[in-house]
Amino acid sequence: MEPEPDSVDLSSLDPSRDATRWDAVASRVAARAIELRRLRRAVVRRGAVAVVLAAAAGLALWLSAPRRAVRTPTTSRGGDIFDWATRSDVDPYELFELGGTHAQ
Amino acid sequence: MAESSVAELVTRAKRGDASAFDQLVRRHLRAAYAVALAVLGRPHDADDVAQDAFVAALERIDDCREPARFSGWLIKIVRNRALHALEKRKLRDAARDHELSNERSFTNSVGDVALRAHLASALSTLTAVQREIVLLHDLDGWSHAELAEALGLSEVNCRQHLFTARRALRAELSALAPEEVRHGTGT
Repeated sequence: MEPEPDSVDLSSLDPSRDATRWDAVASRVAARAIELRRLRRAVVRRGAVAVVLAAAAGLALWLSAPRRAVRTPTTSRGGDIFDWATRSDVDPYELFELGGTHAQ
Repeated sequence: MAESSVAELVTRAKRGDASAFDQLVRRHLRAAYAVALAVLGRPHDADDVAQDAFVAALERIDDCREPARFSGWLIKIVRNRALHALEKRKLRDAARDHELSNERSFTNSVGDVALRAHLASALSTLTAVQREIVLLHDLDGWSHAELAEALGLSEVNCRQHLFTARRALRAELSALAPEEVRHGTGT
């Protein structure tokens, strides 16, 4: 294999050549990261507390709410209507018209 | 005092140790810059993206599940951020050429600016992986083993990429400005 070509001098692209600036940049990046991480953790912690408090408040409201009377199911009137409709003294025209009105 | 390993620093940073954050930044910021530069091609943009990505990575240091592989984890974040920034930049200044006059900070002479422009131009002729390898190796001093682990390649593959990249860079720089091609230290 051919020998590896010498490296090209890329130092002009190196931002750390300006040591003072580079040092300041590194410090700033670290400080920003620490601050943001602290903020993020505080938000998560407070969010968790808020969720727990909201859940507790919801539970308390639910427990303290007056219970509604249990509804008794209404009896179906379908059978009565059927009986009435099938009685021999019901006028079929009246029944027909009633049905037609409902259909509209 | 012996230097702490990266894994130790990451573990300490997870516990909130400020000095660990500081050391992680000092050890890896230039690598982050190299990766951002490989994607963006402009030192100024790479500098900004590297810093932002590093802050974002450290903010979520708890997500780094393998502290010993911090470098690989970090450069993935930097690369993603740089790609995102590249998309935004394309939309923003599709018609605008790179203005060297806008470069701030570490440029300090006309010759330096010209050389940086030549280097950036020559680097742009390489593939993305070649740029990352040559910048991490020749700018930040990564070994082939470190490159291979962080980039998910074999060491042989890394060597091949570096070989091709250096040869292409030399050819490109000679064509651009023969008198300004600086030779390395022979390493």
